[in-house]
Amino acid sequence: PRPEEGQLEFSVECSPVVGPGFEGQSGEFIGLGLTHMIKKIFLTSPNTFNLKSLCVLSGRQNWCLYVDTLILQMGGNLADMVMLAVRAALENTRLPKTVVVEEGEVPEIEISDDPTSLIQLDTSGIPLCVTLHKLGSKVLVDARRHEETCSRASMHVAVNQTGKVCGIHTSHGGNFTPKQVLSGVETAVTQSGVMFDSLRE
Amino acid sequence: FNKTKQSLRMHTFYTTKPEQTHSWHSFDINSSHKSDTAPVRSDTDFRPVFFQLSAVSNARGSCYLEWGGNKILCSVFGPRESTLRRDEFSIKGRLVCEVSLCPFSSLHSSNKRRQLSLDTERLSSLLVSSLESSVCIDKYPKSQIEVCLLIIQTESWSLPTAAVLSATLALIDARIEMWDMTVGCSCLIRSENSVKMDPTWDEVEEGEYLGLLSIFYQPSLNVVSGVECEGELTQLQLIKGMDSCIEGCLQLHKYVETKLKEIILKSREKK
Repeated sequence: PRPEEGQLEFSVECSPVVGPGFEGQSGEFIGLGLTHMIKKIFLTSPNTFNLKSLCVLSGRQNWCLYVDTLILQMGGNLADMVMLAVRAALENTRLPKTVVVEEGEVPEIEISDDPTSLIQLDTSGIPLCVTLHKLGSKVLVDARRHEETCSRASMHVAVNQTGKVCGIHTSHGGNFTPKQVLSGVETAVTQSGVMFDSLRE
Repeated sequence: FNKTKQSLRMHTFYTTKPEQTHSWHSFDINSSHKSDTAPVRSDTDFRPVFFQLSAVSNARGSCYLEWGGNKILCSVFGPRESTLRRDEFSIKGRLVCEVSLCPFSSLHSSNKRRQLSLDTERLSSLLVSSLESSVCIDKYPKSQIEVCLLIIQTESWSLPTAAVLSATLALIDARIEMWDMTVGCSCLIRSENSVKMDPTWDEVEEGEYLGLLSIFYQPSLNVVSGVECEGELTQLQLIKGMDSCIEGCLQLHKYVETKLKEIILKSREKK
């Protein structure tokens, strides 16, 4: 990690409360896949989250945020929900303001106790995920759990507010023709536009 | 979308021998360890590919693949009895993939991006999802086909594409019934008109780019069985990247097909 940047650590966990088929290894597998997807999106798109905003004292002290997601119920379309939850949680985060006090050689940090002086994080760059499932020759968005079991292939597309594609990720034996991939991406971009509009309200 | 026909140079593909290590006589303390004699690659040049089938004698099928800086040994075992729970009957077979990374395979780096691309669990699930649609799993009920990969050396971002190719060749060598070959291709997208094929880690880390794209493609069925995309791309840039990748996959498929035919003819002549 760079000296002037903070850190974000992600983890997605599938609680055994979800159901009998999701305890132990299979639940872990789902969690790991989603964790990897989120890590990749945050690590590889430069404009997703400005880690410099988590800097307190460059080279010495930085904020490290642990973003842990716990899945309690499975209704289908997990990836979208998890991305939305991560974005909402980061938007809700408030960090206390810090003041650098230079006493002698080593500068020290004072964390203010005032509950009103808080820093809010900028989450405008965080993308939202749209999961597309292929059912026969049609493509379905926001599938329910039983619709997911019927689908042959799925594709997660992460789109940010400016309409740019931040990540694509296929799973479960994705069988798309190239045209379907591109039309799927187009659908994802329009759908994410709808999601962002509704978030703003 | 329009298919732009790029002429990707084929002669850089072909190699007859595996990569040779430098003779220890030629080591000079003053020279840098990076190869200064490596030719500058143009945007449409692929790195050389070498493969040899039946490298592992006790596996049903195997393949040793060298692609650029990747050296992968893949072996296929099966069809074997499925290790799912005994009371679970499945009319379809199962494809199980295990990836292991040698400790000496890449320089240890705290670079998070490299660590992320070397995630073996992720790679094995990616391989299963890309290869599943090409193997005739219906013809192997109650059984599983194990694909084991050993990554001996890796220094490029295109490790998944090399892994998919080696797994496909090992499955072909194992005489497992398949619908089609899965080939992979990756590219670095700089802008709508500028795309660099088959990037290495150095090119990815040093270069300025908008996105990276990896595509796993089955040419005869015209099916994309996997897409991995990172960075920030508009749709036009994505279209350009996909076109180039599919073109690259087709070239690679042609080359592998001709090499396989040569191998089969040679083995027939020996008899």
